[in-house]
Amino acid sequence: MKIIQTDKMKPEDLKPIEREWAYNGLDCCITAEVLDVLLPQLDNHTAATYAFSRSLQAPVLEMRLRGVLVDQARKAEVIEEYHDQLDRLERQLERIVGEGCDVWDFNWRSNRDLQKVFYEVLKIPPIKKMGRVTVNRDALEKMEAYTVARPIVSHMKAMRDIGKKISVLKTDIDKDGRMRTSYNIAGTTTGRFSSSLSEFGTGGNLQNVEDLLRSIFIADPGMKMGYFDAEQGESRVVGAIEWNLFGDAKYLDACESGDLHTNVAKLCWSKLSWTGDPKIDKELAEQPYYRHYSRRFMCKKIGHGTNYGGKARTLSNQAKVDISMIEEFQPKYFIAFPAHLRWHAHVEQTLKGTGQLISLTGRRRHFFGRRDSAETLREAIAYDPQGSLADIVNTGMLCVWCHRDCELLMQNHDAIVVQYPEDREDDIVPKILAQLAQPIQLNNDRQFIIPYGAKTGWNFGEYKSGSNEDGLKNYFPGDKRTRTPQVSILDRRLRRAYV
Amino acid sequence: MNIACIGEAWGEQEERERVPFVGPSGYELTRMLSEAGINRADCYCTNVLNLRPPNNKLEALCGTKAEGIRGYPPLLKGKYLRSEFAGELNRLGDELISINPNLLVALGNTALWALTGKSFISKLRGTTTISTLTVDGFKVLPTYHPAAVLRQWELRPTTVIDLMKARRESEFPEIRRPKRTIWIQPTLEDLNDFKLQYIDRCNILSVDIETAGNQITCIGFAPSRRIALVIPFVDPRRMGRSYWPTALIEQSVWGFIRNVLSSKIPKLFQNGLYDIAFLWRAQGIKVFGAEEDTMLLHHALQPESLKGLGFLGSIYCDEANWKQMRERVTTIKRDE
Repeated sequence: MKIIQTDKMKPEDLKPIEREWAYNGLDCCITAEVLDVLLPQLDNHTAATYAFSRSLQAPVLEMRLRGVLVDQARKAEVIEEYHDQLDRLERQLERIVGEGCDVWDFNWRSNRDLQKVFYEVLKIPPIKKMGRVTVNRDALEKMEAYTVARPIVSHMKAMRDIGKKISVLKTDIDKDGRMRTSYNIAGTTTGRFSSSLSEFGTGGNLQNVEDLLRSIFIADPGMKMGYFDAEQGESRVVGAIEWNLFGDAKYLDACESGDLHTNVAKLCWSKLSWTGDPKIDKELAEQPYYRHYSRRFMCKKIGHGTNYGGKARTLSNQAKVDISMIEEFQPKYFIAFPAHLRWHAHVEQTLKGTGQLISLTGRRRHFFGRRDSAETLREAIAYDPQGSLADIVNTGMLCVWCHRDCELLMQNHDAIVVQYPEDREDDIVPKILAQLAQPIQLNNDRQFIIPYGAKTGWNFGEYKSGSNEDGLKNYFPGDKRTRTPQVSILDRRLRRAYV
Repeated sequence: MNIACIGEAWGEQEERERVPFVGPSGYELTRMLSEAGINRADCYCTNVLNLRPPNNKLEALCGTKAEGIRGYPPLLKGKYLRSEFAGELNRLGDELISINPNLLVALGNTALWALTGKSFISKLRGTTTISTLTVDGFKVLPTYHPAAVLRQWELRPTTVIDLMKARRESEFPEIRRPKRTIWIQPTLEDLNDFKLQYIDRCNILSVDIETAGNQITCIGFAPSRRIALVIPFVDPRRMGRSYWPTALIEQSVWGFIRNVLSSKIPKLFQNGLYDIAFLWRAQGIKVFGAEEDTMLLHHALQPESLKGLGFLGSIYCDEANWKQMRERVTTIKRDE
């Protein structure tokens, strides 16, 4: 055996493999030293956050090890669907570039061809990065400002996105046909998880799976999938924050009334002929207000952005709604819910004063950005709703895991996905819904519970009659559906050869 | 003066007054020093270059390797400080020798380059090293330049913490590293001895694995911050690349590890979910009593901060920059 005294060690005198071993030993010792330094720094808030993070390790590890079964045949089908989309866009783009620019041997994957079309033929002022002319995504977005380039840019962006999705689909899955991800409990500043490749370098992010890709994830044989998402979670948390801070219940009451967005519309446009009948009022709120957008849409989309301090111009760009409509909506919204502005002012004041915030669920964050910058303020306003909702969902997930009625499969920020024996659905789903609904005690003896919606099926995609009969459908007791027999990848006739 | 702060070059105001750190960067440096408990008047402040580069761009002072100063590596990628500026480095060396401080605080990449020939301030900041260029044998502590802090405000807390370390380190001229003993290349008997002497008596056992592909290359156990045992499995120098001479012995070693990890002794990890998942998937070993995790702990304390072990070590320990010891990284472990 060889003994290394690290205070006298000269790494250059060690053999490469000895350096690797010394490195490993130092990792262990330094972890022990860091623990000794950090533990005394914990106070009530941070100790509770740390204890909660540790308690989440077991369910997260279980999800990480279990992974989700992938329907190989469906996966191949989705890849083909994407290739079809790509072919169609490619043909359209060739026509646009050929007829519009008189460039006929155009290859959209070649930067040289793209530079020729944009900067030489269309005469767009060259966009540079590190002194070099570029046609990367940022450059394409800048070029969208030029009407002449817009059709080409929109095709390019769509095609590059599809290319990315195809590469995601071709990501390695494990030998047992499952895709695994490594959830990181400390992955974000808000308390949300992040997810990336598994420890063996397979799989990938399972938290933001696009609609078309979702149907490739399936329940194990004999099992059925349940998708449970927190309904209007962030909005409810905003309401709870305002209740705790100012005793103002208007927004929380609107959230808990059943149909938040119709109720917000009622408060913003109080002179309309509202009846008090939820169904008729919802229909009224759904009527077109601006172009094809309804008042309900304005309350949902623009209201959500406004909650987070979104300015009219930003929201206009995001929602593609005329700025004047938002400028007209926001004062109405703030009159209906005056606590929103008070909350924003409170966050701003706290940020400037101490540089730190404590969320509804007791998570403390010290902001490293400039305390007076708009960017830090935006982050600070979003911090509490996002962080608290993550904690509430994870508390529910922990409770579900402890009861062992089902197996956890995925966590998607404000939703969890589980599987359970399909013949016990009506016994298990109500139990899970009850386990997720964790009450939170607010000030003045008010209790706050975020309800969950449940969807069930055999794959993670949305139910579509005829095309995805096994998909997720709103849960009602006594689902009459039965699982479609699985098609083996070997039994499928492929339309194209792919790698 | 026990501390010398070394910056890059003059800015507009410095050029006008011909004094270092008098502009906005200087003001920020004074504030950060004060927050770290250092009086700026007690520091000697200077620059690598007592001149203002055209348009504040160092590139303008650089040329090819042939045009560069002999013995100095490139200052920027493929670009060498031209030999006509060698006098500036000599002047810096003379200043530092005459002041003879206990600690040189290298503010930013240019100062780090001038004193050690290295760059990548973000990787090397926060750990003391010895100067090897311009002046030999001085203790150097690199950290971010105040101008970088003004551009990226989120670097400020780290810089202030580094300056706090500078205050401690300025009290003595030599580098004092913690004494740690690491057992490498053990035999099966050594493992059992180590367990009896240290593991069985410890309050918490720090555990870390190193991996390559789907294989565990070595596993370390530290029953305290002072001692660690490293159990290797791969040794490229040996036939078959296996450290252990026979499969039977290796099996016994895995049995030993299984025994330790399934014992009641509380375990400590940095990003333990990775290690625990890997141990289970690669070797079918279940870890019991994973009670503490420094990554989760630091995230609970400072969610905005980096939380990789290299960063935590630079902030909380006086160890050398041990993360630079590895020649190539073979793991996908993410602890940032």
